[in-house]
Amino acid sequence: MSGRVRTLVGFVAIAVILGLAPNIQESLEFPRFYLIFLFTMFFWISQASSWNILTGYSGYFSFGQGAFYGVGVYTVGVLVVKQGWSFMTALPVAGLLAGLTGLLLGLVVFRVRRLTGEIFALTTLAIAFVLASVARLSTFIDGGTGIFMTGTPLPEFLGEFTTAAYRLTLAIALITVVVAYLIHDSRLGWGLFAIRDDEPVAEGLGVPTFRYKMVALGANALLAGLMGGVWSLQLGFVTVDDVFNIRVPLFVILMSVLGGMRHWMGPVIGAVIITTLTDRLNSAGLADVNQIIIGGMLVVLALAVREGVYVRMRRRWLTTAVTFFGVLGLATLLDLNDSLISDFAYAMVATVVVMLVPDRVWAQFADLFRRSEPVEEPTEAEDLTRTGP
Amino acid sequence: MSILQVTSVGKRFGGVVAVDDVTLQVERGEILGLVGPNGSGKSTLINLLSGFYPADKGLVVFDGNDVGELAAHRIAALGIARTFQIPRPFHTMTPRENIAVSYMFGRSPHDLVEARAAAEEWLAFTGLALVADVGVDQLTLHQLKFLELARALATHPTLLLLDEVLAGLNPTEINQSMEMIRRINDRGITLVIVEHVIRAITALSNRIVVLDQGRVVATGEPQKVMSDPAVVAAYLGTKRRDAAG
Amino acid sequence: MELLAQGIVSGILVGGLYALMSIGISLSWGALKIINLAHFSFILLSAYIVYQLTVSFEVDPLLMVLVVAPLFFLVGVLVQMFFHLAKVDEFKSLIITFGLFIIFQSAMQTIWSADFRRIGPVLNPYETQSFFVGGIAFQLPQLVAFVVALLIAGGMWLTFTRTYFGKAVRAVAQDPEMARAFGIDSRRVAVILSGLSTAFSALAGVFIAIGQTMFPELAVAWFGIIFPIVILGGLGNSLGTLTAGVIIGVAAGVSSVLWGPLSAPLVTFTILIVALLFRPEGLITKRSIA
Repeated sequence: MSGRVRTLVGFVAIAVILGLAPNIQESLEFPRFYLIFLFTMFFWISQASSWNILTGYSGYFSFGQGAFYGVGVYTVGVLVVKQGWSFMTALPVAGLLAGLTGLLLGLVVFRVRRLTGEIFALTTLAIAFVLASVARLSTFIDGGTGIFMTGTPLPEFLGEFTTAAYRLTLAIALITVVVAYLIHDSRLGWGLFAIRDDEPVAEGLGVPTFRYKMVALGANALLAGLMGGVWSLQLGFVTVDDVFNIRVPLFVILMSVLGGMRHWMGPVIGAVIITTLTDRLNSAGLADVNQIIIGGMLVVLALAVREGVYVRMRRRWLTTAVTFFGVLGLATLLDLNDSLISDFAYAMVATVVVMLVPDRVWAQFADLFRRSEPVEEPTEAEDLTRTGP
Repeated sequence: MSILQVTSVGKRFGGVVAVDDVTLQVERGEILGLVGPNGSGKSTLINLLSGFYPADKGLVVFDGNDVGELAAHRIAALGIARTFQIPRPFHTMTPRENIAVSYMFGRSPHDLVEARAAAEEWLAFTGLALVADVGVDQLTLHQLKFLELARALATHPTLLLLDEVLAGLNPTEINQSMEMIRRINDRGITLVIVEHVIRAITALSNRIVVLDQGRVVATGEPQKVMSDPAVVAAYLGTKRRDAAG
Repeated sequence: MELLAQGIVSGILVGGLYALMSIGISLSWGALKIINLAHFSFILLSAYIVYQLTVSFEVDPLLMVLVVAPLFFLVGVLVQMFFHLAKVDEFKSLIITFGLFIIFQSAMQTIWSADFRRIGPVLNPYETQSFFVGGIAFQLPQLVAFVVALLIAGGMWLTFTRTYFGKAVRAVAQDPEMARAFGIDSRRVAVILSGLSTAFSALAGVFIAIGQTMFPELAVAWFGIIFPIVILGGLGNSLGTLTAGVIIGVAAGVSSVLWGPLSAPLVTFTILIVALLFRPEGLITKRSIA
C-alpha cells in the first residue's frame, strides 16, 4: 500500500510545482511561450491517457476521441457563449454530456455478440462525422457559423487568462492521469486487462465484462469532454471542421502507441515526446510535412515497438537516464539553438532511438558492458490491441 | 436434489442443430462423464451450461436457479466454472496473475492483495509454483492445462466442467491429470468431464452420459454404458452405414 | 413528389457506386482479416490520378480504367505481401492502415492541394449526361457505376460459389492452416484477393473522377457511408454489400431531399445503429464469403 501512497504524494508534489509555474515564469521572466507549450502538453497528456483507459486497458480500439472531445468543446461553447452560463458551471456539464455520449454508444455496440471489437472501432470512427453533421445542421449548436470563445469571463481566483487556462488544463490533466493510475492497479483494471486478453474467458471467470467496458468507455468520454470544455477557451474560434477533424484521434493513438498502452505512464511519455517534437517541427517550418511524419511514425511504431517505449525505458533505466541527461547537457552546453525546448527535443529523440533497439540486440550489448545481470526477453505478447471473440 | 438439471435443451447454429433435445441430471459430488463421437454436441453443451451462449430452448437449473438467461459472469458467481479444450490463458499475464484475476472475480469479489496471496494455494495444488511468474508462452501444454484447472478452481466452483482436458497429453501426463481430477472431486466439487480418452473416463466417472447427434443415447454406469449396442453403434456406425460409407 | 422519386433513383444509382467503394474493404476484412483503412485513400488517389492523366494528356477519362485498375492491383499485391512479412493481425492492421491513410492524405494534399478538382466538361462529357425516364434523370456516371457494381458483385458471387479460386478464398478465410493442409497456396490466394480489392477501389475512383468534384477531405467524408455499408452488407459478401449500398444510397438520397445534404451521415449512421440494436446477436449470421 505504501507504493500507492508514495505515488499519490508524488502527484501532489508535481501538482504544486507545476501549478506554481506561472508564478515562476513571471518572476524569472521566462517567455510566456513556455506556459503555452506546457499546457498544450497537458492537453495531450490528458487526451492520450483518457483514451488509453479504454483502448489500452480493455483492448477495445476507439477512433472516437475526437467525438467526445468535440462534445465537450461544443457544450461549453453553446452554454457559455450562446446561453450565457458561467464557465465553471458549463464545464462539468460538458464532461457529463460527453460521458453520456460514450455510454449511449456502448449500450448499443457492446450488446452485439460477434465482432464487437471491430464494430466498436468502426462505429467510433463514424460517430465523429455524425456529430459533426449534427453540429453543422443545428443552429442551436453551430449551424455552420462557428462560435467565438474569446472574452469568456473566468473566475477571479484562477488569475489572468493564460494563467487560468494553464491551471485548468493542469488540473484536468492531473485528474485524468490519477484516474488512469488508480484504475491500473485495481480490480477494475485487472478485469479490463482480462477482457483485453480474452473477453469470453474473462466473462466465464466472473468478470462483469459489459459493466467494466461501460465504465472504461464512460471514463474515457467524460475526461475527454472535460478537457475539451477547457480547451475551447484556447481555441478561440470554434468550428465544426476544426474540432471534429482527424487530429485528436490520430495523435492520441500515436502517443499511446509510442509510449505504451499497457501502463498508465505510457500515454504520458508519448504525449510529452510527440508534443515536443511537433512543436519543434512547426517552428522549423515543417508543419505541412507534419502529418506525413506522424502517419509514418504510426506505421513504424506499430510494427517495431510492441510494448511502447515506457516499458523499455524502465527496463533500461540506466541507459535512459544517461542518454537523456547526457544529450540534454550536451545540447545546452553546445548552445545549438536558443530554445530550451529544442535541447529537450534532442534528448528525447536520442532516448527514443536508443529504446527502438530490439531487445535481442540489446541483450548482446548489455552482456558486453555490464556485470552479468540477466536481461529478460519481454514475455508479453505482441498484440497492441485485442483480437475479437 | 441434483446439482444440475438439464431439460430438453437445444441449440442450433444457422442450419446446423448442435444440441437437439438433451435431458440429463448431475448429482451433487459425482463425476459425470460426457462422451460421444465428434459433432455429437458435447462442447456445445458445455458452452450452454457455462453461459457462453444461451440455449434456444429448454431449461437449465443449477442449484435451484434457472440459469438459462443469465450472463456468464453471473453463472460463474453461482458456482459453475469450465476449462477449455485448447487452453486459453491470459497471455499478457503470468500464471500467478491468471489465477489471481480469477480469484478476484469468480464466486465472490476479492481484492488484489488477497488475490495474489490466494493464488499460492492453487499454484501449489496444481504443481505450478515453480513457473508462477514466467510468461505463459513458456509453459508446456500439460502445464497450460493445469493452469486452466487452477484458474477455474480459483473461482470456488461447486460444479466444474472440463472440456477434453486430457487431449494432447502423453500417458504419464494423463495419469497425473486423472489424479488431479480425483483430488478436485475429493474436495467436494462436482465434475462433468467431456472426454475422448475412454479408459480415463470409465475409470474416473461415477456415471456416463453418451451423446450422439445432439441427443442422449445412453446414461448409466461406465461399464454398462460402454458395452451398450446403441453406444457402440453411435461410435462405430451400424453395419448398414458402414456398407454405404 | 417528383423530387422524392428523383432522390430515390439517384440514391439507388449512387448506392451502386458506394457498393463499389465498399467492396474492397469488405473483401479484405472478410477474407483476409485485415481492416484496410487505406482503401479510402486508394479510391481518392485513383480519382486524382485519373484526373491528372486526363487533364495532362487530354484523353478520355473512362480509358483510365485500363491504367488504374492494373496499377492498383499491383499496389494491393504489394500491400498484402508487406502485411504477410510483418505478420500483421487484424488489429495491428487497423493502426497501420490508419497510418498509411494519413500518409496518403497528406501526400495527396501536398500534390494536388486542398482546392477542388474537376475534370471539366470538355474532357469529361459524361458528367452532365443523363437518361430521362418519365421525367426522372438517370445520371450517366452513376448509372454506369451502378451497372459495373452489379457486374462485379455478381461476378464475385459466381467466383466464390463456382470457381476453384473462389472456394480456395473461402477456405482460407475460414481456416488458413487447414486450407494450406489441403494444398491451397493461401499466400497466393491472399495476394490475388488483395489485388482485386484495391483494383475495385481504383475502379470506384474512376467513377468519382468522372462524376464529381474532388478534394482531399472527400476520403474522410466517406467513412460515415462506407462503414455502415460494409457492416450491414456482411463481410466479404459482395451481393450483400451491393444491397446495403443501395439501402444506404437511397437513405442518404432521400434524407438529402427532405432535410438537406448534411443530414445524410446522420441518417446512415442511425440505420446502422438501429440494425445493431435489432440484431444484437450480430449482423453476419453466416460469416461466409459469397
